[in-house]
Amino acid sequence: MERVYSGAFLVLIGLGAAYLAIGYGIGDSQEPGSGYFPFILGLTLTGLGVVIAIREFRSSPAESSNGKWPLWQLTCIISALLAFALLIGGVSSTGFRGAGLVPAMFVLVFITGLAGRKLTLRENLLLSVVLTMLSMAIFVALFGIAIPLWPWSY
Amino acid sequence: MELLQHIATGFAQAATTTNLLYALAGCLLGTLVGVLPGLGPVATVAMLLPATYALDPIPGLIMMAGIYYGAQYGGSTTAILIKLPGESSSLVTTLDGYAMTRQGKAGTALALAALGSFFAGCVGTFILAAFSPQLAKVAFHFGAPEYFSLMCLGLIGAIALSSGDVVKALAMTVLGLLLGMIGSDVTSGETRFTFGFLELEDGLEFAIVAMAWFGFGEIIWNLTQSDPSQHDTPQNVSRLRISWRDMKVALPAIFRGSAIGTLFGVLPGGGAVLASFASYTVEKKLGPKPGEPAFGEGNLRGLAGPESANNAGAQTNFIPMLTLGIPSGPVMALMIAALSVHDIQAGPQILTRNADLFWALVASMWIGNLMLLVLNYPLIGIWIRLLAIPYKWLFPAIVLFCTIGVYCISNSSFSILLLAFFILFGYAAKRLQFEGAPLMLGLILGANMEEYLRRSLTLSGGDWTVFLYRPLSATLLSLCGAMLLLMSLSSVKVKRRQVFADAEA
Repeated sequence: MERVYSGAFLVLIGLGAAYLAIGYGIGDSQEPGSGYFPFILGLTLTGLGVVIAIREFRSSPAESSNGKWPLWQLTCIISALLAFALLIGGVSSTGFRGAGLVPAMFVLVFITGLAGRKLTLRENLLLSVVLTMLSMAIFVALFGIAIPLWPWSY
Repeated sequence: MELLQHIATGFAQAATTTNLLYALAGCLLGTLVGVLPGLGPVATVAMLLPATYALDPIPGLIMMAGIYYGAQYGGSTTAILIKLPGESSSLVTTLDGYAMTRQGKAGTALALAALGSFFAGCVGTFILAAFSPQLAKVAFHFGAPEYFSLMCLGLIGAIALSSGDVVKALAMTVLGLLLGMIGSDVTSGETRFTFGFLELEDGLEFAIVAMAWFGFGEIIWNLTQSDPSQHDTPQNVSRLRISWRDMKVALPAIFRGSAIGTLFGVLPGGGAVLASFASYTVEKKLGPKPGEPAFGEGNLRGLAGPESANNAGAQTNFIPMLTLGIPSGPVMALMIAALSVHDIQAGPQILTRNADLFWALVASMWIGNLMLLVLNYPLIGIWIRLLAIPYKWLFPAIVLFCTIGVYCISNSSFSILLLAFFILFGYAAKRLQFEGAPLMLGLILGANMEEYLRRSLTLSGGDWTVFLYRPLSATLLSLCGAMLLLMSLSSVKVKRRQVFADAEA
C-alpha cells in the first residue's frame, strides 16, 4: 500500500502547487505570470502521480512489500538534529537564545551514536567528547567560523 | 596553437602554491571518501560548499574537482583489495580486480588501475580542453528556445541513462523543478512557495537537499543493512609492479575504455558509472583471447577498461557543465551552485569572461591526476588502516560534519530543520525506489528553465510552436521525444534492464 500512497502523495503535491500557482497569477502564453511554469509543472506531476498510483495498485502485493521502517535510526538522527537546532538557535518566543556550538555538537553526536545501537554508553560519551574537540579544532581554530561556542558567549 | 597558449596560462595559474595545495587537498579528500563506504563525493562536496564560499572561485573549484575525480581512484582501491566498491562507478572493478587479488596479484591490479586511470584522466582532460571552446562557440548562437530544449534534453537524457523506473524518475525531475520554483520570482519579484518562511525567499539551498539525500540517506541505509565495515581483512600489498607483457594485453582495453568514458562523460546523466559498465560490456563482448583468464576470474582487460572509462568520464563530465550550464549529475550541479555564489554563471560565457578559471581548472586536472598516480602507492597502507575503523565510530562523525556544514551555509537553525525534513523525505523516496539524482538536476535547472521558457514565449508572441520552428531546438526536442518513446516501449524496457543487470552480473 505504501507504494500506492507515494503516487497519491505526488498527486497532492502537484495539485497543491497548481492551486498555489493560480494564486501567483498564471497569465497567458504571451505574458506568462509567476504561476505559469509552476502551474504546468504541478499538473504534470499530478498526471505522473496518477500513473504511478495506478501502476503500483495493479502490481502484485508481493512485489510491494518493503520491510519495516527503520524507526529507531530515523528517530535518533532526526531528534539529534532537532536538539542541535534548538541548542544552537534557541527558541525566540521563550527568550532562550541558545546554548552554543559546543554543547550542541556534543548532544548531536551523542544522540546520533544511539542510532547504531552498537556503542556502549562509555564509548558513546568518549566519541562525543573526542568529535566535539576535533571539530572545534577544525572549524573554529582552522576555518575560524564565527558561531557562539558556549551558553555565555551570546 | 591557441590551445597550447591557453594551457600554458592555465598551468601558470594552477601551479601557484595555494592552488597546488587545494588540488592536493581535493585529491586526498576525494581518495579518502572514495575509499570509505557510506560517504561519497556528493556528500563531501556538499559539506565543503560553505567553505568554498569563503575561498576564491579558482581554488574552490579546483578542490571540488579534485574530490570528484579523486573519488574514482579511491573507489577502485577498495574494490580491488576487499571487493568493496567505495563508489558505484567502481562496482565492475570488483569483478576482475578482486579476482586478481585472490590470485595474489593485487599489486599488478592496483598498478594497472592506477596507470589506466591516469592515462584516461589525461585523455579526458585533453578532450575537455580541446572540445569546450568549440562547443562554447556553437552555444553562443543559442537563443532562449534552444536553451530550453537543451535543458529538456539534459533532464530526459539523465533519466534514460539511469537504471531506475522511467515514470518515477520523470516524477522526481518535475518535483525537482517545482522545488526550484521556491523563493522570489526573478521576473516579477513575487515570492512563491515559501509558506511564510523568510529563510526560503532566496530559494531552497541546493546543498541541503544534496546532503540530506546523499549524505544522511546513505547513513540510514547503511545502519539498517549489516555492518558495512565487516569485510575481509586486506592482505599486504608487497609491491606495485606490472610486467610489460601484462601491459601489452591491457593497453588496447585502456584505449577503448578511455574512448568510451570520454563519450559517456559528455552525455547528460552519463558520467563515470555508466561509462565503466559500458566498457566492461564491450570487453566482455570481445571475449577473452586465448591464454587469458575468463572475465570475472582476473581478466586484465576487464579491470583496465572500466577503470579507464570511469576516470575519462569523470573529466569529460565537466564539458556540458562548464560550456552549457547543464549538469550531468549531482556533483556537477553542486559545482554550478558553487560558481553561482561567486556570480559566475556556468555556460559558454565562462570561456570568455572567466577564461583564467577554466584553463586553471583544466591544468589542475592534469596536475591532480599526476598527484594521484604518485600518491596512490604510499597512501594505500593508510587507506586500508582507515577501513579498519568500525562504522559505529564513523557515522556519528559524518553526521556531525554534515550538520555543521549545513549550519554554516546560512548560520541559521532553520536550515537544520529543513535538513531534517529532507532526510525523512529522501529516505521515504529511496525506500520506494525513487532516485535522487533527477530531483537534484531538476532543482538546479528549475529557475533557469522557467526563465528561458518565458523569454522564448515572450519573444515569439506567446506561440508555443517556436520550439519546433527553430531547427536546432526542434532537433533537440525530437531527440527528447525519441528517448521517451524508446524508453516506454516494452521491448526496450526489457533490454535496458538486461544491460544494467548484465553489467552487474
